Amino acid sequence: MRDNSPDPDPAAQSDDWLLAAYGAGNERAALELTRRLTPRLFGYAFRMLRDRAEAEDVAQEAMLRLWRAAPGWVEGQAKPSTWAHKVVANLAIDRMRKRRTTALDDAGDPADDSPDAVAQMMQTARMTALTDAIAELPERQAIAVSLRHLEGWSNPDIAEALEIGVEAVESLTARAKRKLAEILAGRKEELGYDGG
Amino acid sequence: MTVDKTTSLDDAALDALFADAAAQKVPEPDDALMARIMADARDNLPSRPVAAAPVAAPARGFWSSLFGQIGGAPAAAGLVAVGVMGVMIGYADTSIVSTAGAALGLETGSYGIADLYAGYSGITGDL
Repeated sequence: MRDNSPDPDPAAQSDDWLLAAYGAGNERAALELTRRLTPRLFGYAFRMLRDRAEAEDVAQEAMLRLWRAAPGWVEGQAKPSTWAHKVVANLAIDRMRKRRTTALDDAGDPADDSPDAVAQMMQTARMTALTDAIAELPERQAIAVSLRHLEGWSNPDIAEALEIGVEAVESLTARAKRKLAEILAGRKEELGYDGG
Repeated sequence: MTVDKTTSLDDAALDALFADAAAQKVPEPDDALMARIMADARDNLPSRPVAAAPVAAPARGFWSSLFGQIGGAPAAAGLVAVGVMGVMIGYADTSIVSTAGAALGLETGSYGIADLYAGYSGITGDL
């Protein structure tokens, strides 16, 4: 039986409320949640994967898992957005590890020799190198550092996503950055950081 | 973990790399993706949970209890039919039976009880 009773304006409700409403059969709640979460999940996936089709697949899969989790969702225990971002992180990291490539090989040759084209190629190489290096990190470090430095999340929000304390998040991100610095050390010149 | 400052990327370079990554232009999700996600939502839309009220057993009156013990309404109907048939036979004109017997070519004389039980007359003194 579907919910056809009049309900509050979904746009005025919290993510938590919307997911609970969807879990009770309210399709309008799903529409609002889709509008809110999909751009953020897709954006995060895209920054990690740098591929539109793959980012779409990951965002769709994360939302699908959210729909399936809705009936058993405990309101107030976790934020749907936080939960879904963690799913995106896991899915994206899995894909990044599977397709591990050499950053500069991917970059190819510039379309022309103009400064813009060369700079664009260098930028692509840097992003590829960074995301490939993130994929080499232990999973929790990868999630913590990507949410902190790619998505701009606060440490308390990351702590909630990983179900750990804020201090543990600080420790994770610090270790992750040290490891990234090591991984990328061999590419300093290639990436234009030879002066550092 | 000890980091070799001469070979590892320094913090400033790493921070610059992160800043570039965070600032990169991200496309908006297109309508097709939103439609696929909503289709998934519809496919997985849970039914509104119905309160698990216990289903009350139908009340059983005297007649339903009685019929239940003898096999239900069909059995009761059978019993009634047999009873009616018995009453009809009891009141029916015996000529009906005689006529039927004659039609079948049977002898239709009357019978005494001695005709049915050999030696009965000895006991009764040849009634």
